[in-house]
Amino acid sequence: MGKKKEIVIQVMILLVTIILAAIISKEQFLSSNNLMIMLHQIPEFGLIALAVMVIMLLGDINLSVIAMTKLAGIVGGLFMISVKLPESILVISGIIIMIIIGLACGVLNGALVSFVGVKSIIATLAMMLLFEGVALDITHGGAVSKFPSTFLWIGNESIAFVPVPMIIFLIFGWVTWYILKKTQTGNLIYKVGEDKSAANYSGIDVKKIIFFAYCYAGILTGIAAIIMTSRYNSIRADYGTSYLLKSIVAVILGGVNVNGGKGSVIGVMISVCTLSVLSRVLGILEMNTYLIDFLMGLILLIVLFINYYLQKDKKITGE
Amino acid sequence: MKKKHKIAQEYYLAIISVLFVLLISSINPNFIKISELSYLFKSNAVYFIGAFGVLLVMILGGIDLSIGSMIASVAVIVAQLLKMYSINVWQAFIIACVLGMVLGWINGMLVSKLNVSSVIITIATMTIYRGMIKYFIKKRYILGLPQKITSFGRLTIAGIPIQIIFIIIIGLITYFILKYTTIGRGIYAIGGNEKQAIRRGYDKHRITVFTYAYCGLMAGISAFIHLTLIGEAYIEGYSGYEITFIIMLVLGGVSIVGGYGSIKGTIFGVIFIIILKNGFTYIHISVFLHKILIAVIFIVLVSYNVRHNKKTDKKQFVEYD
Repeated sequence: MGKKKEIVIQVMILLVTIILAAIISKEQFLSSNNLMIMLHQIPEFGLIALAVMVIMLLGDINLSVIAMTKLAGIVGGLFMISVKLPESILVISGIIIMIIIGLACGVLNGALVSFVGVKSIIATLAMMLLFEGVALDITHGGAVSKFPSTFLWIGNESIAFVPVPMIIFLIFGWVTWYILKKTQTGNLIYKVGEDKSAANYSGIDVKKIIFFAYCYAGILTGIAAIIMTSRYNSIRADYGTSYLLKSIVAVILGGVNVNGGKGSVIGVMISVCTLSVLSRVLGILEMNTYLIDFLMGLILLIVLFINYYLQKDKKITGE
Repeated sequence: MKKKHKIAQEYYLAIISVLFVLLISSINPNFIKISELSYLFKSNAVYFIGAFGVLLVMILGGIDLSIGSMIASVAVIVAQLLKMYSINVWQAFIIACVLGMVLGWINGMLVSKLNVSSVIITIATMTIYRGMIKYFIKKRYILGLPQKITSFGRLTIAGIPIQIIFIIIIGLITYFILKYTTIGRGIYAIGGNEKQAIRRGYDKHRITVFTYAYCGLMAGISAFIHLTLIGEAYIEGYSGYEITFIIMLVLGGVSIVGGYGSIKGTIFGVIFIIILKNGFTYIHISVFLHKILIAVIFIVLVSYNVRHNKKTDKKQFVEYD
């Protein structure tokens, strides 16, 4: 019951944002061109947000998601422009490489957090530094670009008016939902997030669950890397830095508990749309980009305030 | 048992630093000159003073990711004020302190009141501070500050650069606060075991706010030091520094779960990273490799540390083992 109510609220917020956006920006926002741009923008951000979410369900935080995405994109991209192969094989192997690099980064994160036992924030900070360093080292700060045209199809074309990135996003949104709700491992992620030591005492292999979550987040960033590189047709070591805050805002706005154990994929997907609408409108209005960052921070604080007061009420009513 | 190990760890770091200095200077003998080392510490004074602030936050068991943003914001505001009004250097110093303290106080209030992880709060305030200043000042660089600020930066007292005097004084003050005041002991107590500390009568809210405000104050002083060194301010400056601070402190023996950390360890940690960073340049290692090397060294040391602690001190580090 409570969950449904939350999702209804989420949808309401989204609708209100869209209506306000349409009013403020006049017809510009609702033009099919603009909507198409937005539908192309949401997926990469959404996938990164899902990666952040899976970790936050554990009560951990993953600061290295952006670095992972960039590294995966850069390695895969470099492979595609430097190896001579038939185009279709090249693109498929490029995609596979990106996913593998994402997964490998996730494995490193997961191993450091679960098996070595370093706190998630320190581990992912260190890994962020490492991944950024590697990305910087192999590109020397320059851009990797001019990918095969088949690869660009993924980021820029549509099937029956639905952009391909959106389809990928919906598929992986569903997969994430399925894993979290329908499989035992997913359920255990929630349990571990609620209380690690209780989970341990009840015989759950906490380390394995944590490791799995980081690996899955790694795969998601690999997918995000595919969309990101093909959409821009280039990738650089300093792309997408503003996504970290934005993805955390989206996850918390989507109703995920910062301390772990609570949150739904649908909520996050809706809040990703809300934030995308918001930043698109601010973009249309030619607002200062700094102001957008500032607003994202402010929204995060406001959501935290609201959550705090909601929780306070719950405590009083004894829920 | 634990204390013994921790002290040893700080000295390990010092020994590694010395070895590294010797290694670098065997390749490039310029590195070990006193003037060179003094310049190195002077030009990195921002790291020392910022680290003292973050140290308190980390002993409390939190993390301040907004420190770089606070330094840059305060530096830009003070630089702008110096340019527009005829304030003298000490007025600028006091303004920097107050501004920093206000920003830190906001962090502290939010962390204490909202009961959310300090990581999330300070990520939010990090962008809010920088974004706000960017929006209001509308310039990315503040150049051409009055001469008085940079000439203040060149002062020496008994041959010691003024920035190093600042480090020593602030280090001593911080040491005193941590060691001999109720609030300082409270920071350790709450970082070590929150419930017990509250039961013993420590005021958690007051201590939290004080800690973050102190961190902000350090950011303010760092901003002032930055201006005396460089004589210009850049709003994008110091982004990414928060990570460097955390690395320095964790290497210096600060426990990430709170409750442990010392000024001595902090100084060793800062010196270690400074020597590492600058040493790479002296022996001509490509700039692009610096990040990787520091990350690898950090990961290895932290992993070793955590494994070692698991063996010696089961209580603190193994929550679910």
